[in-house]
Amino acid sequence: MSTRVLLVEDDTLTRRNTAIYLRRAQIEVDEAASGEEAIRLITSIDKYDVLVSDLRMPGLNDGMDVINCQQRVSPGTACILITAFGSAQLQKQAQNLNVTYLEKPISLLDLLSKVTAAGTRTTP
Amino acid sequence: MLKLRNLIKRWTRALRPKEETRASQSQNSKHDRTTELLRQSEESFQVLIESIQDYAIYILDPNGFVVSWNTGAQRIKGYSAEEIVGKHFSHFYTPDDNRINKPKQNLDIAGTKGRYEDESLRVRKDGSIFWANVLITAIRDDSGKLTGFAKVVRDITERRASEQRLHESERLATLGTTAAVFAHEIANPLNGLSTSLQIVAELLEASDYQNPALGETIHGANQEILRLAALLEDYRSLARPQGTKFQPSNLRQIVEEVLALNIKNYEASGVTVTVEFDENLPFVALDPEKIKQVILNLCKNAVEAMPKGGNLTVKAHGTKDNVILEFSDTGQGIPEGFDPFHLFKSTKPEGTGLGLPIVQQIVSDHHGTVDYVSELGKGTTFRVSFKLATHN
Repeated sequence: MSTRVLLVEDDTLTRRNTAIYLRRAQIEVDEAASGEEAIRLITSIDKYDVLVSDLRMPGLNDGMDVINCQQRVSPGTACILITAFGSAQLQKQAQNLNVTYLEKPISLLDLLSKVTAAGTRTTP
Repeated sequence: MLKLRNLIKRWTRALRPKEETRASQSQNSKHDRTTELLRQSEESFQVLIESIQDYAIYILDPNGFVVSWNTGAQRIKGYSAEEIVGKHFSHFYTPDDNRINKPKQNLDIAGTKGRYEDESLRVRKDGSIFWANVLITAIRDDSGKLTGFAKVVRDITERRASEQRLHESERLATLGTTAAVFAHEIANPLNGLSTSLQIVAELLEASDYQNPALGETIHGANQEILRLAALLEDYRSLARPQGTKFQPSNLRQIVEEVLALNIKNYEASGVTVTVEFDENLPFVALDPEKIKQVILNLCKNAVEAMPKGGNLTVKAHGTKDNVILEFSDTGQGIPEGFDPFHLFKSTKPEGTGLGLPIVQQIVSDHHGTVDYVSELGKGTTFRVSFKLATHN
């Protein structure tokens, strides 16, 4: 069974590129363009293996809200947080939540290896 | 000083007739007591003027020639009484001010209005310029005739510099906050571009198409994206940090953490790094994350100033009130007349001119100071001074 990923990113080009790259590696990707859309998917669809979410997005819910929701719904799902502007504080916060942290511009190869590693851990 | 004494005597004598008139209405013994009190007051006043170090206090005749000179004047302006008494006070003005006849204008205003106050540049004996707070007060005798001017001058260079630093720091913070907002809008499209290029590179690799120029082009474009991303990060650093956490910090440990991550790169550029710290250096109230940026920027500058390699020495020592951190390189030095703290100014073709403004911003947020000494062809030392205070 392939790894199933929810990709949350408001920047269309980044979302499209990331999805293409992951799918080329046989990863199943659902896309959400906002925090609200992501939360709808998380609460309505069966468990994702990996959540990859941008931090800052327009709308009511940011990446942290999406991660909190995902961790409540299925604590086993691995989470990867991507941000344009990191800080030591944010990195620490991510660490405390057991969330992998990446800064933009991201390396797709790096993201793929993190998704694969996380998927292996969570997939039964 | 003798002239000043004589002048004070003259002043007090000028006051005397009034007192004597009053005294004559009273008993003779009261008159004697008043005279004695006046004499004592005269002496105390002389001592007072002579002992003042922080103010130049001197007298000009009605035409602006120096009549008296106190120790404060000697300290601030550099002339001894022998050198300056009898000379015109326009010596203290800049050539520009003399060209527009400012000394005379100032005296005219003081003569007409009774006083003239100003904050402007003045010249010392050695030709150096300083910011002065100047007060000129007209002295008139009983008949109202102008007998001269009392001049009080204070050197406010330090105050002006600290106001300037504060102003600059506010300006950078505003710029940083604005930039942070824009930077976010730019960072996302940059990530889009970067991931697009990565996909192109991967597709290219998987295809049969062979053209080394294409791979190089993609690599070049990617490098530019990374450079822009680093620039954005620099801009964002200018924004005043929210909720900066000052904590008692071991400066040596912070320096070593930064060096541990970067020393390999420095050594690869042919730079030898030496760390010299005082034993028992006291803890300083710092935000370690912010100070890491200061150390990183200063080390980076030092390494970049030595393209052919050299020595970078990071030193720290304590004084009674401060902890001083120094970064010395053996590089090309900073050209005279170039202000490295000026925003967007860099001597390096790839430089953003943001590194040192960021350093200045962070150090200023820590109530510290940063300055440098440099000699062309020999090297530069940047010195950061942190106050040893616990109330940060």
